[in-house]
Amino acid sequence: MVAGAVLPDLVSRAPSTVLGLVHSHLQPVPAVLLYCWHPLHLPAGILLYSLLLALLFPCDQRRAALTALLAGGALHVFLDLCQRHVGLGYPLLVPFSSRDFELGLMGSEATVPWAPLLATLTGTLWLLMRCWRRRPQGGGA
Amino acid sequence: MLSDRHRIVKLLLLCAAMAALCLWYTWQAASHTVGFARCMSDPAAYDGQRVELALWLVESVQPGGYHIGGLTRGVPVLGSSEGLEPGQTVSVVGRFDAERLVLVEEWRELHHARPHKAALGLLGLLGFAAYAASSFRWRGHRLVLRA
Repeated sequence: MVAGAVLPDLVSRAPSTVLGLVHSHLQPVPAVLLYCWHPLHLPAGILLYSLLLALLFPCDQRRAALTALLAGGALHVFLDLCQRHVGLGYPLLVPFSSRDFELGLMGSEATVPWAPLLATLTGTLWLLMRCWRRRPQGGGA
Repeated sequence: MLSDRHRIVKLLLLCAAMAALCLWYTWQAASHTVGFARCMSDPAAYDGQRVELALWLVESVQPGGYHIGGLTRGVPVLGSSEGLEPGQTVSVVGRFDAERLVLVEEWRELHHARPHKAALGLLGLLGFAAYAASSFRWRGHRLVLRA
């Protein structure tokens, strides 16, 4: 699920950001290469690459992998929908409709002050749970 | 769909579907979105056209205006340049002025925290890469969880 939550940005924002930096500072990049990644940040794209990744797992783990990837992707899309942008909503129903949606509850950088705090909290909880699972089991013969 | 039958064919079809989706979306967006470059291609036809430029970089600042860059570099914007510095990220909504070949600013948002967001995103991606490398490995043409 962690992978599912990170992948929409990893496969769409990361390449377009890197190519955007090349375009701005080094040499012009064709517009198609700057913007073609966006559908991988939308439900149709998330479904396609989740299916593709699930097929890379052993047969008996594919259903669980697909469910986790889709759940993480859905969480990512939901949180992004809460943001507001200028003229850039999320066309959730692509390729069936290009109508865009956005809840517009917070600015696109409103989560920045919270992210380090939440990441630290999550990391601490993860470590505690890991220690708890690995603790020696008492009461044995 | 998730069985091993014709697995390679399914993987290739999914790659083709993703490529088709990306190219179709880009073609759709290019044909329906009016940006500054399109206004410049036929200024008279687009006079007064509303243009929305989200998350563009401030390239230079002059009294009473500034230049921003994104897909198109050096887009001239008429508007208050107070508080603006080159390198900052802004979103601008404006109207194209065919006579002066500029965008007349109607609304602007300065994204102060954009560099912090980018840095956090980079940290997150590095953390994810470390997590993925420590959690999965490639064995027998399959992605398997490390014990």
